[in-house]
Amino acid sequence: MPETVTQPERDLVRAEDAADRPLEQHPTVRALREEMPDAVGRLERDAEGTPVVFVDPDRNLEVFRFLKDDPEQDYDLLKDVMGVDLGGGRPIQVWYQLWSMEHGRELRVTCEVPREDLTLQSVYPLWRTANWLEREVYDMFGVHFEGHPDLRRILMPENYEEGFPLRKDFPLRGRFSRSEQVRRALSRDLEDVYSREELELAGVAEGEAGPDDAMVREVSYQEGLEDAAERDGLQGEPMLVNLGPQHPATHGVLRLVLELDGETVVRCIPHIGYLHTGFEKTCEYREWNQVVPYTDRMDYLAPMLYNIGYAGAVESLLDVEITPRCRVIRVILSELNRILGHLLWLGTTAMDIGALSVFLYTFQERERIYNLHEAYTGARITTSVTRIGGMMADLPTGWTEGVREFVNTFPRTLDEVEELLSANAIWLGRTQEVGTISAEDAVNYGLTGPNLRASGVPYDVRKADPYLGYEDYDFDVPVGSHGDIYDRYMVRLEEMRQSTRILKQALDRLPDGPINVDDRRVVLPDKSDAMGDIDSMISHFKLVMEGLTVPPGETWHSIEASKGELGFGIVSDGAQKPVRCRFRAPSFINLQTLPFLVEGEMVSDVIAINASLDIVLGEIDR
Amino acid sequence: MGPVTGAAFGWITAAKAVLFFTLLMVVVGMLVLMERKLAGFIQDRSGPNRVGPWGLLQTLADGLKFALKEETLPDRANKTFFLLAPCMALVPATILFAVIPFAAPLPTQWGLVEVIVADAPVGLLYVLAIASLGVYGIVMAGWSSNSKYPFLGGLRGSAQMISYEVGLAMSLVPILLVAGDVRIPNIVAMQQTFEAGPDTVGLWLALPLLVSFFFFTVAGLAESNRIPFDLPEAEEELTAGYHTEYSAMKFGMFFLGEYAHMLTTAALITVFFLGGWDIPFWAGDNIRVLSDGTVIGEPAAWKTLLTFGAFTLKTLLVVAVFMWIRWTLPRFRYDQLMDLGWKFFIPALMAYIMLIAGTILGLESAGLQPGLVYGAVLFAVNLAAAGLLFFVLDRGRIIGGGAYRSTREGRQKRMWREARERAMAAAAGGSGGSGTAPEGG
Repeated sequence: MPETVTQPERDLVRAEDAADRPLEQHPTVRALREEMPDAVGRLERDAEGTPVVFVDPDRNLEVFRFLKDDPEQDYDLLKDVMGVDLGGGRPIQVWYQLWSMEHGRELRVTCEVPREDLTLQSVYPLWRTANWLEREVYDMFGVHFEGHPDLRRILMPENYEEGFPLRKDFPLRGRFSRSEQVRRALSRDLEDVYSREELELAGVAEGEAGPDDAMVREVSYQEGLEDAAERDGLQGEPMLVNLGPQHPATHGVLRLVLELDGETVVRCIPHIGYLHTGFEKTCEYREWNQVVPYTDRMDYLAPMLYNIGYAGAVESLLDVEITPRCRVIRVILSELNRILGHLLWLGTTAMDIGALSVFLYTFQERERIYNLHEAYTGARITTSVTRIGGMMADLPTGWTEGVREFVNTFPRTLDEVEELLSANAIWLGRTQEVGTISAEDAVNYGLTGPNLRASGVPYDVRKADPYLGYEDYDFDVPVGSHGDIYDRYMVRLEEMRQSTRILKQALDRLPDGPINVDDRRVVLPDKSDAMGDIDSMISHFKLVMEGLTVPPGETWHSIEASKGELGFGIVSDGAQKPVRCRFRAPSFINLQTLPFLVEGEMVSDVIAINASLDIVLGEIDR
Repeated sequence: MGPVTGAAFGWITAAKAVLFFTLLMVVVGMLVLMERKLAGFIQDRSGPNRVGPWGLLQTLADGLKFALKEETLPDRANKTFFLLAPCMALVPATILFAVIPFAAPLPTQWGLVEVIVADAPVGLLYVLAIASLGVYGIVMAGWSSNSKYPFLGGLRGSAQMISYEVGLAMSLVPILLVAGDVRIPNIVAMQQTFEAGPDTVGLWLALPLLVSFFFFTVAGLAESNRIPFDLPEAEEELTAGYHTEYSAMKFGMFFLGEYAHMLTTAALITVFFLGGWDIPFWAGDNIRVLSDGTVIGEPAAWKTLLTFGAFTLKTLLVVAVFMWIRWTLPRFRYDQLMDLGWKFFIPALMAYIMLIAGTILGLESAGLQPGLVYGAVLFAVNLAAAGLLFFVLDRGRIIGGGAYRSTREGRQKRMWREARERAMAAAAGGSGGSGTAPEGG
């Protein structure tokens, strides 16, 4: 059993950086100013109240080294690295969202990188998380990170030549014509199909061999013998196996290039981006409420969490307070979707390790949640349940009874699954001490959610930085101790039980009252009102024709999704559309731990570990 | 009435061969349906129920699909072996049935017909010899596909089947010690009476050789490549393992081969440990034909039918247990499987053979002849051995259970990391030539 811990009291520290105190007194800001006064530029607070420190782009690594290593600061978790292009030739901003586990403090460091010299120091030496995050910023904005070990495109194809998609001067449909795009996609150049690393592994250095004989290198028997002799007797040569993009256990179009020594993995290189649809770019061309349907297509296994997180982020920009009923409903939906996501995880992981029936048991329960989805929203997966300032509708009659019945009966399935797996010798052998990651490594790699907690770090956004009134609910955060697959399994099982606890409390306290905020700037008036009086009709007209406007500002709002910390970095310039809509997808960051976890393990463990990380390619590729 | 002789023997044997082969194929087809129905039952769903009443014709539809799908032949495959492999997978599982007695001898106008295709005097050795041939199908398929997943599957398959072959053979040694015969009908007869006279109800070997029974069942499960031992095909890891590149009827033959293998294993368990066609607690079926032609007992057609029913029921029960296991347990990892085979099965079986041999020696020097008391002593010894094995020696440690964490501690991974660091240091310091492969694996 994983032990459960309650979050330490943070009121003392929190008082120091409360949002109403001047930023100059914030301990980190003070220390930074003392330590390196000329590296620190202006100070701001974002809509969430998080301090934003602008830092000289030439000295960013120095600042980060101080922020991470100084025991008074101790920002050990790099939550996000994201780019923002405000357009109009202004410098490209790179945001670093930091969190200190020790002090429970959040901080954003922003570097404004001038367009003529788009370079920054890579923070990879400090945080392993930065690897893929910086690659993404490079991919999308063209910012070079000096000292990055492997700065390649990550979501776009490696040979993508149209530019950097998230820059404002990049058109929504891309630079090339459709026919040119298709031509390039179908071109059979070797370098289009294989990555540089793969080519190196296959013994084809760049430009050395033509496309035809590259991958299938015929080695004569004699040559093979000489090769073997050269490699010290029976060493042999490693085998390159392509796991994916179409593979039964990659949970989507993920491709892992594995270099195998027998069955042992020598190297693992994940390739992502097959499902990249440019949601972040598209969102910049949609009105605030029109973004909601995009959000549930990212984590389609727990869609409402994305809806709720996005709405919360925009509401923080708008500075509106949602109604008490809406808050409780959102908590209910969040927890239902957490169960939904964890149940899928449980089923697929058990299936990947060979226990097929568990999958069907958990899917029966998921089916019941989907029925609840359907009863409320009409959709089962693409729910789009939130609107800015409220929900799409009030709950249908009898819905809460349905939830109550589910909450009371579904833990039985968990007990059944536990009986099948928790003490099963084969299950223990397959999961214990496999894919182990220590607490320090987990934080350094930016793992969040159950994966991090399985390593023993009690970080849960619901406790650390409560939203939707989670501080009023009585629940525990389960924590593992070994950081292996088994602990991830136990932590998730326990989290589902804790979710039922929260659900019971939320159902008991669900208040009556309006579901949407009473603010005509944000929420459509009642249809009968719109037809009845002129004021309502005007606001109805304006909201429908223009869309709602969000005051200028920026926010980085995060919630605890089923897979980890789900962040929304949103910038508004006061118009009807976001300037930047960034989704910090937890799976994206969790997945980059995979090479670290699997190297040295066996092929079967690759499957088990990959499953245990709970990834969903929809949000990884976005 | 004596046994069939002369020309009648020839054509009756041919007829038996045709009859039993057809029967086997039909049963194998129905097993597929049974598995899917059973899986449906275990997983709280209906299973196939669209083709024919209660889905009974599903197998027919599946077979039709196999026949009509496109036959693919990978470009770089070794065609001879690629085509030979499915046959090699199906044939050994099928011809194993030749030495299995299904029922009590059937009296006919030509004489007493034994319900067995070939009553080979080397029955048990034949079983072991043919069972080992099954691996060729898998190895050939894996190697000749010239593709990586099948190759890995083939390697796994060969390692696994060779390892468990040893366990399979060794778990049969105690039977030889007790029964003193390799002719399979004699082993069945032995269980019917336990050599305590023709009118006793006998004792199935599953009880006096309990540990052997367990090992044989597990090794048989491993031999037939089913969960938790289905590593050669491990769908989630190797897509479909050794038969990834096969389609249509060639795949169908692997598929049938797997079920035939399972049926054979179940039939062997029935014959060796569950009394074969013996009906429990009834001495009326103690019919046997001695090698000199003497018939003991009173054969009758209805007895043949009844015993055949008993045999079928036992075999299907064992098959059902296999299926139940498949839909319940997770899968082993390759190294765990090898550990289990070589570090647990073989030493434990060696000790067990010594124990049984010692017990039998002791019993015989005490003047005790095979009989119920003899069996009871063996049963007691086995019970003690099983208790020792499962509760004292293993406790889940050997296959990596409860005490796994403290013993392994990521040892393998650490060793591998060190090796890689050494290799990288060497590459950096020395020539810097060949690269990342760790030294010493």
